[in-house]
Amino acid sequence: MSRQERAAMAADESGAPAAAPPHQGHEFAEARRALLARPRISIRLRLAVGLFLCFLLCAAYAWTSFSAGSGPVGGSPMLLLLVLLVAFTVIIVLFDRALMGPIRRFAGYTQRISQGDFRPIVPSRWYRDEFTDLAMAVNQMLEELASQQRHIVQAAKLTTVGTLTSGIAHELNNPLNNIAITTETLMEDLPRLSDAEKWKLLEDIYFETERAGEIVKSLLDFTREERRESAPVDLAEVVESTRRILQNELDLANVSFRTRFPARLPPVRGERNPLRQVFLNLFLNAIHAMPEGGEIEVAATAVPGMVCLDVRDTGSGIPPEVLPRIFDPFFTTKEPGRGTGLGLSVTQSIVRKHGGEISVSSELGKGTTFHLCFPLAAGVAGE
Amino acid sequence: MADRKRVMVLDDEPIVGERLRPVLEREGFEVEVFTESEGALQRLGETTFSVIVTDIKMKGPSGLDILRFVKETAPGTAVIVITGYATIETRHEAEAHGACHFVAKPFKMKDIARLVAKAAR
Repeated sequence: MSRQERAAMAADESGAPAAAPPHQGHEFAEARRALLARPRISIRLRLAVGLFLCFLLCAAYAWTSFSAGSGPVGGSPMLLLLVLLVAFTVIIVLFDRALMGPIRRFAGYTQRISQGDFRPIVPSRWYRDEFTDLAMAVNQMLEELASQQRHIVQAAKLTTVGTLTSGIAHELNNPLNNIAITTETLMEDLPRLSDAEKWKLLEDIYFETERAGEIVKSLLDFTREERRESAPVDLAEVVESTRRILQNELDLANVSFRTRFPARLPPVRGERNPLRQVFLNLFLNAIHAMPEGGEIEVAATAVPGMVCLDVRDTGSGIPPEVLPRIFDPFFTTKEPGRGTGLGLSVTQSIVRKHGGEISVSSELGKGTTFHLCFPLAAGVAGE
Repeated sequence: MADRKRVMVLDDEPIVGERLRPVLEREGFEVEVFTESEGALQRLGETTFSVIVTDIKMKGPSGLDILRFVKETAPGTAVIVITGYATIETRHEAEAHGACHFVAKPFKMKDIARLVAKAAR
């Protein structure tokens, strides 16, 4: 059995849902309550009871063999010896299960935790013991890790926003300029203008103000720390709203943007903003890989239980020696000050938190494709 | 007036051309407005302008591409760059390519009209 399979089994055993919604604080509190609710039967107690039973059996054996009066090779002591052997075997098997079972399960937990799955450990037995204490300690660590992860994700998001700011400032200056010069026209020419002309100028000002507001809103929407609530999310909408934030960057870099979505894409379960960040990171990387312009294509397909997307660019491609490292935190090929090396690492952790998977294939000089799959929101899994 | 000086306004924001046109026409210029740099480049191949007012960042060829093209084909044409993307770097780059003025958005149309009149002399 591979480590992954074991990890998957351990996860199933713990009764947690296969597609984890992003971590929430109450998950940890619930896990703690559930773990503490079990009656405590400590390993120490079981060990004491086992040893006491062994002692009793040994004493019974000694007593029987001497009271038989024919030395230790009497008929009934032989039977007792057999019982003693069986009892020892049962005790050893029970201890093996008591110790090795949880150790194997914990090996599975470490496997899934190392892959960024920070769901708490929930009870898998009807009693609790020293391993439960260990599980609670691990849960406490996971809660800390999850909170630090949130901070890293937020920091990476602000870095991304930083790289977008200059583009957004440009975009904002355009409606501002349009408002300024239209107002100037009104002020200079007011007596000469007909009512229809005045109306047209005021309309321009009105719509340009709305446009400026939209630009600011799209940026704020993205940076806002929304309440972490997972809900059914339409990935087509997520991709489209991310494109809107990036439209200016796309235009300036001469990158065309295409989507191929089926008419009706079933929703996935997740949080809109982190998912936007996933696509923002992928699109920004794609734009940076195409300094001479090119094309980004997002193709989505619904497969049983999943929605899968391919994000393809026609950029320079990723060298094979770099490819295995691109999801590593702090790994960057950009010059100092241009990238934190957190983009793809955070992207991967967000995808995994949604119970999804991300992989990459690339060909030098031809381009790179990121393959993403997300489990469907509950209730549409049968589609 | 056959000898009216020709001014080109190129900005992918249609409102810029719409508002600048009457102001510059009142100053006595013949104004041609473009919102796409491809079309502007084509027109520049056909005729010469006294002054070009151009944005920098646009779809297709940028304002700097226009500037380079003009400086090669019609060195006498003055180019005024207007941009919302006003950084020291873009300013240096524009000036190195021969732009005579660099104006950050949002601008005053009075200032543009004054600079165009100055550049046309």
